[in-house]
Amino acid sequence: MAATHTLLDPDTLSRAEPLGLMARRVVEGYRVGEHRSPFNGFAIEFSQHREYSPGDDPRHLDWKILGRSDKYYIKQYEQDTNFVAHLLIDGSASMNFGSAKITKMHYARGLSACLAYLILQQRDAVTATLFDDRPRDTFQRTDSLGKIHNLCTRLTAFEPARPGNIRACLEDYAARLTSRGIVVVISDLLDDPEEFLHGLRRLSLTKSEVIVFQILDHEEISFTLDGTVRFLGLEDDTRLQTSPADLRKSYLKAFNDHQQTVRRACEQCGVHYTLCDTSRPLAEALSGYLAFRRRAG
Amino acid sequence: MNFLSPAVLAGLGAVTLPIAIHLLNKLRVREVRWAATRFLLTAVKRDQRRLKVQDLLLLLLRCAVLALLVFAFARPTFQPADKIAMATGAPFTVAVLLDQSASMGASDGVQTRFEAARAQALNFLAAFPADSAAALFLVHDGYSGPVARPSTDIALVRRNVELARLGDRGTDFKPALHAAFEALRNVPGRREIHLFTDNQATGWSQLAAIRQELGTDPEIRAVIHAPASSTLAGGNLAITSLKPDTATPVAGQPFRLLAEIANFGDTPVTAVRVTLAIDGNAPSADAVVDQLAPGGSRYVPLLVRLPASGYHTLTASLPPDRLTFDNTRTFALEIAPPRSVLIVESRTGPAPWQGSGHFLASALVPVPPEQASSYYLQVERKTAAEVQASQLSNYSVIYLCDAGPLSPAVSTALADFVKSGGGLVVMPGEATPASVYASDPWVGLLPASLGLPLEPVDGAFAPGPYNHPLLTPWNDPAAGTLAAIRAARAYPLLEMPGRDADTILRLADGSPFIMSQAYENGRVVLFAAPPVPSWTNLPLHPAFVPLMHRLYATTARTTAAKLNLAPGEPFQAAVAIGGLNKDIYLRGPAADARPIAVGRVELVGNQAVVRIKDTAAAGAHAVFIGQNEHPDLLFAVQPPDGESDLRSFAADILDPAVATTPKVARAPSSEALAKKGGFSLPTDRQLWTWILCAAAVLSIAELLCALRASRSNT
Repeated sequence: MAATHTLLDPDTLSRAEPLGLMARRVVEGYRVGEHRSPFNGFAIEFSQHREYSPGDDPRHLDWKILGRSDKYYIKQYEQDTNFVAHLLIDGSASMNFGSAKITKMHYARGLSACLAYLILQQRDAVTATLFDDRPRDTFQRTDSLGKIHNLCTRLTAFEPARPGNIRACLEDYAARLTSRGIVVVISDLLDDPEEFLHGLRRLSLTKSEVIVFQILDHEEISFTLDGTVRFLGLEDDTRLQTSPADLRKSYLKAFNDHQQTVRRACEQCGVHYTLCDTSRPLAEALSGYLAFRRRAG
Repeated sequence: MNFLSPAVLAGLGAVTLPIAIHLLNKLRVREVRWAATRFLLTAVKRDQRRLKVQDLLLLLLRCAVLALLVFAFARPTFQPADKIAMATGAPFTVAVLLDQSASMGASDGVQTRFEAARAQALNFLAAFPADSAAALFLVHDGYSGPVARPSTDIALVRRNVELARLGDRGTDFKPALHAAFEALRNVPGRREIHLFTDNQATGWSQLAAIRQELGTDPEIRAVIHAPASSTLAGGNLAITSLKPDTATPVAGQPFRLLAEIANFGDTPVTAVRVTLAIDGNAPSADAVVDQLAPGGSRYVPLLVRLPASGYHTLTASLPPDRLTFDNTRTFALEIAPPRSVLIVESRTGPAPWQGSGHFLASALVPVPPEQASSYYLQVERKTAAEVQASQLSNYSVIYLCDAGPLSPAVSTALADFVKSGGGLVVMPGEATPASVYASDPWVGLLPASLGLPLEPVDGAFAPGPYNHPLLTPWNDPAAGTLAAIRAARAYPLLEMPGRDADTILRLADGSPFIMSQAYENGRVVLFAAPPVPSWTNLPLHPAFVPLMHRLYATTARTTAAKLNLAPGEPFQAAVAIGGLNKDIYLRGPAADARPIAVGRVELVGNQAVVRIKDTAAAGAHAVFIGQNEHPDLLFAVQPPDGESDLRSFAADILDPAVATTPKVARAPSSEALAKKGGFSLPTDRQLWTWILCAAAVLSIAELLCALRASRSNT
């Protein structure tokens, strides 16, 4: 319960809840919900006819056409369904950085918990996977709001310690994805952007809606450190002693180039991209994105 | 380069401050665990070289600024080490030489070089360490030694420096340097010679000897304190010569002077007005020089009508410039009262033209008979028999013009006459028995012995050019030529070995025609023929009159006094015996000068003589004997013409390796003029202001670099 209280910020939830998380694309669900399903089945609304082919369930034959024209047609229907939201949370060591009170990992946990809560509350399903260089911990799919506490506990229990490999993880996840849904990638995306692009492309081939939340610390964005600093790499053995003020211009240029590449990769793959600065309240970032999503339809 | 405050150089350790701060900053490291190292590595890879260079540049600039500040406070200077040592208090012995030559009167508009040099010498002495000794020599073309031996009484030396006055004498550093060298030669400890001067090039005419002497004792160091610039703003015009162009000054008659005007500036001058004043009155004559090129000179004739007989001064003047002593030049002369000359002749009849001295008398008094009495020359004509030995002293010149034989008494009296300063012109002719001149006193009196008269093969006078001053006017073709004169008959003038005789004029065949010889105080001139047409056409030639007058001027009895002196040259003149033991008062050339007692009339031999030693100031000097209101004598001191040339040597001229080429004249820089006292001394220049400026410039550069680095990193 403590983890739940920590991660589920009431302010965040109160601002995000009315906005909900509507599936932007058609998602595959396993029960009737608020979202359109790509499957034309037996459920509610007729969609079209098609000729019968051997193997089709004879229960879907349109007997009226058979009676009138002695031809075999199968009736197809559109059905509303719920969706499964796949939360892919970067748990690599770089997520452990935080210049203020919270680290990027902490921010990612909160964001994941809030998203899961919103999704479960609207009776959709959630599955969450923490990964670094490979998937480390997977929270099985659930549509029960009561399981949110378990999810929060699992998120809190995970401590980033290893270097990341987002490409491998995304490709692996895409290979294992059996149905279309919403894939939410929460990461600092500090890996090679080309690697990220490959993974993202592979993920987008699953026809799931992909949303990318990039979590960055404010210091990583502005690089305002002073004095002489010895930088110790979180994911590698880099040890670099320098004056950040002297490097600020070049650092920001390299950083902005990286961000441009990331944004461009997301645009190429039709992916919603949201940058989350850990210095900004989570509520502000989440509600801002959801409002944008609602406007975009 | 040396330092006035070398202890401050210890502050150079401060140069390590930026380095220490740099290292401390490196040591004060904060560790940060960082995620986005890929951007850091990219930035470092891109900027590492630039940052290193930038850091190094900033570090060097900061170190340089600190080092320059320390250098500035250490007061670096071009002063020689000895002066620095002086400031440290180590006693030593110095000979101070202060140049008081005329060229030191050059002014920059505020003060003269002499004033500046004197002030600098006083400052130099004021900083003297205790127990040090100094001697003082005042330098001109000689020297004077107010403190000739090194004295520890520096106040005495300073007082003598304060009392030193600018003179009008020339420059020769050799005597003073020699005296200073001798004064220091046997003194123990460190010894130095400090020469405060304008370092005029003409003063180093004996440079090789000076260098050689100083080289004999290298422990005696010589330091020259000289101004940086040797030229004067506005140039320098000078009267370098003033000499008469008329043979004999005659009261009431025109008198021509030649003034040589020289331009020592570096720009041409135009319309230079030269004036000539008599006895310090308003100018009586003037002339204008249209143009005078740099380094050029020109003679300007000035014509005045002389006043009454007596002593007079003629002063030529130029417009004033910044070197005043050479803008005026004074010439003193004595206009003798009308003189009598005696022509001893032979006569063939009672008429004047029947005398052999007729042509000579006419030439000496070339005026109508009614004006002859007022002419300055009064001619008496007598035969040899009429000459009385006791009357010879009444004449200034005696001409023996084809005179008959003289009695032994007259001959002896003639010799005495010449000894006492009289002039004797011997023109032997037909009436002259040559054998007479072969006996005493004539053998010693005449410049040559006489042979038997003969007819020269080529009796023409030798054509010019003529070297004897008597004949130089005929070197000008416009004055005619003497080559047209011929001698039909002539006595051979046989030159006598060992005799100091001048040959004034020769015939074309080389045989002497006119010879001259000084004989004690007088002068004897010997002609080879008398001025009668049967012997030579000389009396019929236009050159005869001026030649006779010039001859008279050179042989006439005048005062023995030399009236035109160089500065420092003693004046001496014989006066009437009645003035013996009377006080002598001298009034100098200064406008406000008053007569000052300079001694008494002395007895030299059997003559009363005025002797005056103090003749340093150029210009007219008046000598009063006793309580006379009017001057009894006038003489002039003329400055040396070389002093007007202000070209100078560099201050290191005593270094044997330095070439002896005078500096090229150039205008003084504004910096030099602005410098206090206008006396810029490169050997004395302190550099701290320049170094402070450099430090300021480097500080600004460091600031700009830092700002640029800051901007480039944000």
